[in-house]
Amino acid sequence: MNLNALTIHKAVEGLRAGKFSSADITKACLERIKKIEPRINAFTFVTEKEAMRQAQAVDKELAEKGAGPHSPLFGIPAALKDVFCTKAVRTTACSNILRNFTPPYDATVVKKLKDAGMVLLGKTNTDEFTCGASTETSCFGPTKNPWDVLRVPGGSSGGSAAAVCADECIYALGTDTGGSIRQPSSYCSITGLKVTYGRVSRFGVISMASSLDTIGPMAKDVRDIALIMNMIAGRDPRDSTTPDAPVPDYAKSLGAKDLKGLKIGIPKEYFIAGIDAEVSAAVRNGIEVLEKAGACVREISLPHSKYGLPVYYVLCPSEVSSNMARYDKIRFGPAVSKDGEDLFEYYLHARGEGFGEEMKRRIMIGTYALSAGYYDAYYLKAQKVRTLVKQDFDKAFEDVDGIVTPTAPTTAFRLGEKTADPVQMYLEDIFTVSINIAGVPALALPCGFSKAGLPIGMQIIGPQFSEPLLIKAGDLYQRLTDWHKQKPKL
Amino acid sequence: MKLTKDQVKHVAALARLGIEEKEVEKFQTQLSGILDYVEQLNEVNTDNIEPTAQVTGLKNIMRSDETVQPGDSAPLADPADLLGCSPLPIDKNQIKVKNVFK
Repeated sequence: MNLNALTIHKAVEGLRAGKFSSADITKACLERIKKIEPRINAFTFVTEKEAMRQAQAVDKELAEKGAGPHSPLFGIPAALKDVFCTKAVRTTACSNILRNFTPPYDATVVKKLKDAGMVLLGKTNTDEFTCGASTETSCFGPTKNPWDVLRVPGGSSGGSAAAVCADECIYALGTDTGGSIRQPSSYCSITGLKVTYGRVSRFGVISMASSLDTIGPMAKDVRDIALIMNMIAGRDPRDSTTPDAPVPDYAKSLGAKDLKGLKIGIPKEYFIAGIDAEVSAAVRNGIEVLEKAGACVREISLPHSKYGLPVYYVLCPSEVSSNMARYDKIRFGPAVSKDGEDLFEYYLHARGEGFGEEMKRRIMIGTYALSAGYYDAYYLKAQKVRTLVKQDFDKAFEDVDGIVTPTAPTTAFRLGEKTADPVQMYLEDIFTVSINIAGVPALALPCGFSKAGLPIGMQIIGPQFSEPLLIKAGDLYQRLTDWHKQKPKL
Repeated sequence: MKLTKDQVKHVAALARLGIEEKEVEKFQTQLSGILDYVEQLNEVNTDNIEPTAQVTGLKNIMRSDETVQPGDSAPLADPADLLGCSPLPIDKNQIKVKNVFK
């Protein structure tokens, strides 16, 4: 078997039994990357020499001292979305305004994974500053969906999703602010977890919308998700939005025999007209599997569901406009190509040529919504409706333990299909954004394919800090189905 | 159309975003379309509803005013490396920028 096609848990088995080395797995990944990257474009930067050096260091340690106390991630090659600051490795957020940025420090999660022995293969493609649902706004060009290279992989973590799905790496990290882990996971048929807001440190990860951003694992199955979570979850003194909630051993949630006693709610607002019939059917089949495993399924209502998107598209651009204010080619960024007479003109040139179109749209919407005279009508109003959306989930979780919905209303769309009208692209997020607004976790699982062979995903949503429950249910689902084991033909 | 061309230019200037004259009309249409879409929030009765700024419930998370965090073996980054990220000239550990005042 190709070593790059392994999961973390299978790789660890072989590694510790001496069947192959970390350098072997790493080489297999790098060869795969060389072979398919011209068609897929999942990576913005491949750190080949450094990856081999790290793998060789792991192999030396394993040979001399054995596995010992090392985590399962020791020696396993991974890829990171290009918004995670990696010391001495270029980090660009796929934007021209950070095209040459080389961070002088590691993000907290990067340091945690490095300490655990991660072998870093490189950085993956994303929509510019993670603002998008297709990975088409990257300054490095779009990533292609390995299941059909004329289609998008989803976004914004499309590079990570494609890299995992095409076995260019063993696992990856992404970010999810409005669906950016879950939707590409579903478009590419991989497993992705959007964590509870604050579960994983965001220090050193380029911010998009500070009250919505989350960091999460993207992998080939739920078992791997649990192993990654054990290394990245937890309070960080450098990120004041990480609560002091204890980190359980997520691997203990694996291996459940059934889901007896688990109450699952299906929100009627998520199975509306306009959703693809094949998506709806595949998700309903997925729900049936959970039911046969012992879960008790009932219909529920999340009455403010339709307002999730407009809430998001006020709050998100507002917070984006604030976070983008630091990008002015003063403390970081490439030089301006056209100088200005004074600071004001310098800013106009720096930001005008540095930001892509979608970023300019979001910054302008946000600036408008936050400006004097409009703040109450837009931002404050959206924050109040946010409370109502969150309360829908709080009330629902008094009656059920988990909620299952489709992740996206369609399967992967064609490159360029939705770029003409920004609102068309925004509608892609219709099933994912409310989860970010409420700050709750959701696990995206492959649950089928369309007749055209395109992946379909569903998400299991739980209350805050219920990742163990999601992992328990998702893991059992994956032992009863094999959607997640299908691979694209490349 | 929700926004006038002048409003678009004004917002761009507030955001220090250089946009070309030929782009103004396109942005005018697109931004107005987005604002039209979010208008539906006005259908929702939010009387007596508190706004949600963040979902953690955390308040006033503080740290001691020290340059190095307890538990650090070294500072996170060297000041010289941080200054090295700038494209502008460095003078006595300061980044030299254009005139603020005319």
